[in-house]
Amino acid sequence: MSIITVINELSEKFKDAILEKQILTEKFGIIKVDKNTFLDVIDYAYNALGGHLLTMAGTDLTPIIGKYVLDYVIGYLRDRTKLIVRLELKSNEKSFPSAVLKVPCLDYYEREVMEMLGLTPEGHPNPKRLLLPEDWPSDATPLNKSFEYNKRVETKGETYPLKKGAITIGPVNPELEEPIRLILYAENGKIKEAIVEQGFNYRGIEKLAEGKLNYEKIHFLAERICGICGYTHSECYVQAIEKIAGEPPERAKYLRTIMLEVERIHSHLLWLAIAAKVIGYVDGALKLLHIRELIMDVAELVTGSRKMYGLMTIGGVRRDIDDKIKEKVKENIKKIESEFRSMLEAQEFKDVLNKLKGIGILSKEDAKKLSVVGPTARASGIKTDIRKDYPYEAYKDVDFEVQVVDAEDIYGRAIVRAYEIFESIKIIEQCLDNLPEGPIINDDIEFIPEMKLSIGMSEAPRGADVHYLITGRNNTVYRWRVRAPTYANIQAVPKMLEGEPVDNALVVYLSIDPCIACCERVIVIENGKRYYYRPKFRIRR
Amino acid sequence: MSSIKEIIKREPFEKFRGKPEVDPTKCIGCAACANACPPQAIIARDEDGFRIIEFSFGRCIFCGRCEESCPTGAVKLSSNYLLATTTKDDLKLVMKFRLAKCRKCGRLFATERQIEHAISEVEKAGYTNIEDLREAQYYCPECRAKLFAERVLLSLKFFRGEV
Amino acid sequence: MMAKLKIFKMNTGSCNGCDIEILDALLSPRFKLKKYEIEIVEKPEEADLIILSGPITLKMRKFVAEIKKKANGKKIIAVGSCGVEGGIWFDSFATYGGIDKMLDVDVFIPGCPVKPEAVIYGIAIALGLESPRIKRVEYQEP
Repeated sequence: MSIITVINELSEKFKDAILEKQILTEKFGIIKVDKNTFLDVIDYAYNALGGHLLTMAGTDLTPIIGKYVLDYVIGYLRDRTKLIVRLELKSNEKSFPSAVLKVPCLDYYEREVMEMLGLTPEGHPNPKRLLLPEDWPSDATPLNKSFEYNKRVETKGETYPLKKGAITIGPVNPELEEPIRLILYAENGKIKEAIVEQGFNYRGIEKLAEGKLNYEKIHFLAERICGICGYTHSECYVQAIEKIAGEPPERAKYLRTIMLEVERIHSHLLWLAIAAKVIGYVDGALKLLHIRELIMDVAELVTGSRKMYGLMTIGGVRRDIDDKIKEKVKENIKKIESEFRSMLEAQEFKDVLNKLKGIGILSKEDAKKLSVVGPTARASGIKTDIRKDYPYEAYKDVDFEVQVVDAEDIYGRAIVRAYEIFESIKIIEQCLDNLPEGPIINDDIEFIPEMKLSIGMSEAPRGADVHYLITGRNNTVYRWRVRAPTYANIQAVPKMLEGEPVDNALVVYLSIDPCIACCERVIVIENGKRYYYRPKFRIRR
Repeated sequence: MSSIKEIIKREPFEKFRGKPEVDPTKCIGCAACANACPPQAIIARDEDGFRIIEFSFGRCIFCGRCEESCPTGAVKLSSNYLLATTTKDDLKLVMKFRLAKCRKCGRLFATERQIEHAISEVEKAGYTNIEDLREAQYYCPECRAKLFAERVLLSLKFFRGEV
Repeated sequence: MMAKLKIFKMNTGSCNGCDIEILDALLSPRFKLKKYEIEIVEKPEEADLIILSGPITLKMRKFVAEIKKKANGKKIIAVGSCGVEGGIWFDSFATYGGIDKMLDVDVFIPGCPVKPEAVIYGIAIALGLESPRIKRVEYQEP
C-alpha cells in the first residue's frame, strides 16, 4: 500500500485545509497545512489513523524562501509508510500552535524549537529551556542561519533553580557515566515527582554540520555523538545521503550489518555489567566485562580500533575482510555464545534477575502513549523493531526473531537484552556465511544534488534512531536533525519513577539504557538545598 | 609495574589505527591532509616565504583520512598508541618548506617541491616537451592561464599564415 | 601487599567513549594494575588522582571550577582528543575547549577513544613509574 491512500483520506476529510501535496516515493509523502487547521490535521493523522511519531524538525529557510519550516514526521506501521505534516511560517511570524495536548510526546521537540529558533509554541503547558543554560540570552538562537557556529556568548552556565525538599542525583556520581541530573521530590520515602534535567552534554553538533564540515567529514562527527552507539548514527546519516545519491554494493551492505550487530552485542553486555554493578552483584559485573572483551577484539580486528570504527563512507565501506579475519570472528562469536549461555543458566544469575521483578513498571498503554522505543517498548509487550518494520542494509536477507516479553518491569528489559544478544550472534553468522563477492565502494557517486530531503532510520541498541536531512550547497548539509532513541524513552522515566522507593531511583533510570550523549540535552532542576546521593544501595521492595 | 611489558597485554592487531608517522623527505607541502582532517589537527599556513605544516597529535582522532589523501605516501598510520606525556608541546610535529615565486608577477604561490612533483608526474605519463612545461609550471595560475592563451593565439596566427 | 589507589573521575561533556574505556582499565580483570587496588571515590578531596574527560560544555563549567578549588596538589590527568585539545568540536559555541583551559593538567593522554593500556600508561607516568616516549619534531627543508 502506498502513501497516496493516507493522503487521499486526509484530503477528503479536511479539503481546503491541505494547501499542497507532494509525493516523494511510493511510501513517503508531504502535505502542507494551514496554521489555523493544523491542530485538527495532526490530531487526526496521529491519533485516529494510528501513527507513531518518528521525529519533528524546525528549519530556518529564510535565506532561501523567506520562511521557517516545521516538519512533523509520522510513521504508519501497517503500511510501512511515512508522512510529513508541514507547517510554514513567514519570517515575521514568531509563534506556532502547540500540539502537546493532542500528541503528548511532542513535549521536548517543541521546547527545542523554541530554544534553537526563537519560535514560541502557543499553549504549551511547560515552556522551559531544555539544553542551553538558564542565563543564556533569549535572542541568541543557535540554529538560525545568522548565528555563527563559533560565536562566544557571555554566560556562566547556570543550572535550573531547585524547589524546597529536592533530592538530586548527579551530574557528578561514580555510578553515572554521563552527566545528567535526576531531581526527585519524595514523601515518606516514596517518589512523588521526578524530573530529568539535561543539557550537560550539549556540544552544538547539528550546528557544526551546517557549514564547517563537508559531506565526507560528517560521518566522523556522527560517530562521535555517542561512544557506545556511534556506529548507528553514522549509518543513519550515510543511509539518508545514499537515498539521494546512490546505493552501495551488496558486499558493503553485509559488512555494515555485521558491524552493526557487533555494536549491539557490546552495548548490551555493557548494560548488563553496569546494571549488575549498581545493584551490588560485582562478581557478575566483572565476568560480563571479561566476556565483552571478546567482542571488542572482533571490532579491533575488523576495523582497526576498539570503538569509533570509522568504517563508513558515502557509497560503501573503507575496509574489506579476508578469510583469516572471518575465521577469527566466528571463533570469538562462538566463545561468547557458550560463555554467556552458561552464565545465564547458572542459579546465581537467575536469583539476581528475580530480584528485579516488579520494579519500574511501565504499562503497555503508557508505553504506547509516550511512544517509547527499543527494548523498553519490547519489554512492555509492543512489537516494534526498525529492522523488521522499515528494513535496511542486509536485514531483509537474514533470519531472526524480534524478542518481545510481557513483563513491563526491569526484569523484562534485562531479559529482552539478553535474548537479543543470541539473535545478533545468529545474524552475524548468517552474514559471514553468505558474504557476496564484489566491490566495497560504489564509484559512480559524483554529485549530490542540493535542497533534497531525506530520512535515515536504523535500530540502535537502545531503540529507533531517526535522522532528518536536507542537502545544501557547496558540498555541505543545510539541516541535520538527530533524534536519538533515548530522546523518546527519557520522557517515560518520570512515569516509571512515580511511587518507587527513593533507593531504587538510580536502577530504574538506568533500565532504559540511557545514552544522554545521544540526546545532547540536559534539564536540571535544583532546589535551595543539595543532597549528595549515596551510590551504594541495594534493591528494596 | 616497572616495565612496559606488564602494561601491554598483547600486541595490537595488524592495521591498527595508531599515531600517524610522517616522512618529511617525502612530504611536498601540498596541504591535502590539512584539507581532509575532520578536527583540523593538521594546519597549513604560509609565513615569511615558507609553508608550515603542523600536526597536533593531541587533537587527532586517528581516522586515517590523511593517509588516504596524501599523494606521495608521506603519512602512514602506525600502531603506536602509547602517547601520554606531561607537556602538550611534545605532541607537535612542524615542517617548513620553501615557497616558489611566480616568474612573471613575483607572487609566492606554491612550494618548490609541489612544482617538481607535478612535473615529474607528467613526465611519467609520457609528455615529451618537458622544457615548455617546466617554464609554465613556475608561473602562478593566473599568469599561466595568460601564457597559455598567448601560445594558443600564436599558433592560430601561424596556421592562418599571418606570422 | 597491594597499595591502594583512590581515583576520582568526571565526564565534562564527552561522548562517553573514553569513560567506558577508563572503566575497563580500572575494573576489568584483563587490564587492571596488578600491584594496586583501585577504588573509585565520590569526592575529589578523598582521591589521589583526578581523571577528567570531555571538552568542557557550558553547564559543566561550574563543576570543573569546583574541582579547581578542591584539587590542592593532586595530579590531574586529561584523557582523549576532547580532553587534550577540544576534539572535533574545539571551536563550537557550546564547548570551552580542552581541560587545560580551566585547570593545570599534569598528564595528557591522546586517543579517540583511548585504549585501556594507554590509560594505565598515563597513570604510571603520573605516579612517576614511567616516562614519556614522544618528543616534538621539527623539520626545515635543507
